Amino acid sequence: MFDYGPGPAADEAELIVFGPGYGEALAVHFGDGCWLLVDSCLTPSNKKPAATDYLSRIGVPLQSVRAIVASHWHDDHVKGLAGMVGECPDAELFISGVFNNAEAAAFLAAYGSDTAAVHTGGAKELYAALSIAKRSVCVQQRSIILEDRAIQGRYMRAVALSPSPAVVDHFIAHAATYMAAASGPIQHAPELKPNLEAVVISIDLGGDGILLGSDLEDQGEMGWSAIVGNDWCLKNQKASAYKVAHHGSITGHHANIWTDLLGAAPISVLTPFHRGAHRLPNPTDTGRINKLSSGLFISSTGSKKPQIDASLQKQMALLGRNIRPVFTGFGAVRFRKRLGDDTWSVDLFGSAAAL
Amino acid sequence: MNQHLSAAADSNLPDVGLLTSLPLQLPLNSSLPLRKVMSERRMAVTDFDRGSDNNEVEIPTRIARLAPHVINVKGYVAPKVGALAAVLQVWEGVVLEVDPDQQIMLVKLADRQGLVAEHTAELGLDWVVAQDMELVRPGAVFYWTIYRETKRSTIKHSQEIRFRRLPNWTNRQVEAINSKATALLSKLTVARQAT
Repeated sequence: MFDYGPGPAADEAELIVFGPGYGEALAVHFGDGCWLLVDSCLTPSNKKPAATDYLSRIGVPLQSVRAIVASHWHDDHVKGLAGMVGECPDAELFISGVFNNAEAAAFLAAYGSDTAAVHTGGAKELYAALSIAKRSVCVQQRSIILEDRAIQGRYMRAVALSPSPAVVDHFIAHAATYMAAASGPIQHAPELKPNLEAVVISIDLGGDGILLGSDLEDQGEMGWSAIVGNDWCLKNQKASAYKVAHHGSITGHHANIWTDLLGAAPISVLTPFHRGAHRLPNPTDTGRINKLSSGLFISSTGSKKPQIDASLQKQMALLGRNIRPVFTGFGAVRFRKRLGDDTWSVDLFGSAAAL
Repeated sequence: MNQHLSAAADSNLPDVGLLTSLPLQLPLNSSLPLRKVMSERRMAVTDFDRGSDNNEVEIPTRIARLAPHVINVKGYVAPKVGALAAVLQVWEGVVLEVDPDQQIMLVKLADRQGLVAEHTAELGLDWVVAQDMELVRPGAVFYWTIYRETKRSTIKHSQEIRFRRLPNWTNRQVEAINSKATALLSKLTVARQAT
């Protein structure tokens, strides 16, 4: 496993992004040992939640985690979430406000509990996490996730910029489609596309900021448009570090993110996404983001060759094509800076790389 | 593509396939009592849950154990005695996307024995049997079996893709879901809003 070195100093802010090639997890240090975790993926070597595994390795007690955010329920963002919640006894669990209604709760219960032998991976993990969490909080635009007036003498906070109220109604309509009805057919419940319900987090470090874009996309007046068109959102601290939304895709891009939510030429990080021949980020995405950033880093750049015995691969090729491994290599990108400094330092671990 | 070990597509009897796609509810005109079918289904599940590679048995015997309806299908021609089959790989797949224009489905594959890493692949829809086509949608679960048949020193590889059929929701399940949803909602609080 990686040698992460010591943890951040009390007066250092940190953003670390983990990615196994499919999935992502983030950890943010505000200062004074105050940690926020966002989403979850597993460390391949020991199958532990990557973020809490990291904290344990750098000597941070898990009681330091003040909040855990499940930015949305897709299985690449919540693998190991329930375990992570169980490991952090003092953390509140924050989820998208789209679940705070009868239809969405029924959706989670139907596809996440053990009532029926049909599970949607993400729903199952989220349901388990909510069952374990001592306190579960729904967030939507303008919600406060974490607030502290005395970290290194500064006022700091993390707020949600999404989902907007319109998205809540949109999700209810989707969830209602899959409501369990006696004698009705059980259907598999796919993820909502595009992703409009993810929680985007704006972090104010008292003079500097971090923007975590989750997997939010844009459609009509929902998604990013509902953020960059909202006066309150635009008044938040501009960020000098950005976890790029939706793996750098064009659907997760909005020009006003870069002009209105981010400072000039921020440092950027993203995780890859592979689904068969569909790869994110593609070269056009990388070029676009690089032009807007002072540096762009990716959490995983592992091999995409099938990890299957040659003879079996030959048989599979008779029926299938573009056979690719889901997990292509685990890596992490870490940004650190002393509060008040201008420049972030960058550390790369495993198969992480600069783009 | 369906090799002869799967149920014939033209049968009027319930199509059971080779794996856990045995229907939980038989049609009223089924000739087999439900108890016998359920015991056969448990046997089918056990074969793969063992994770054993020792699956070489005579094909007719194996079919009789796992899919008795296949033997009774009109027009079905059982392979001759003496053939042996070994399962090389069983993937449990989930459909991620369906592209009707290109007639392919993007799938995620998990090894049933947990020995091979997860993969994604694109499969042609023409490899799905006709009676499973209605089941093909994002989120649908299927089993892709690859096996080797040895018959009098001739080796032949065969593959089969069969989709999992889900039963209907029962009253009891719906009640349980509503109860769990109520409990879940009661646990959720709303975050404080920033001014």
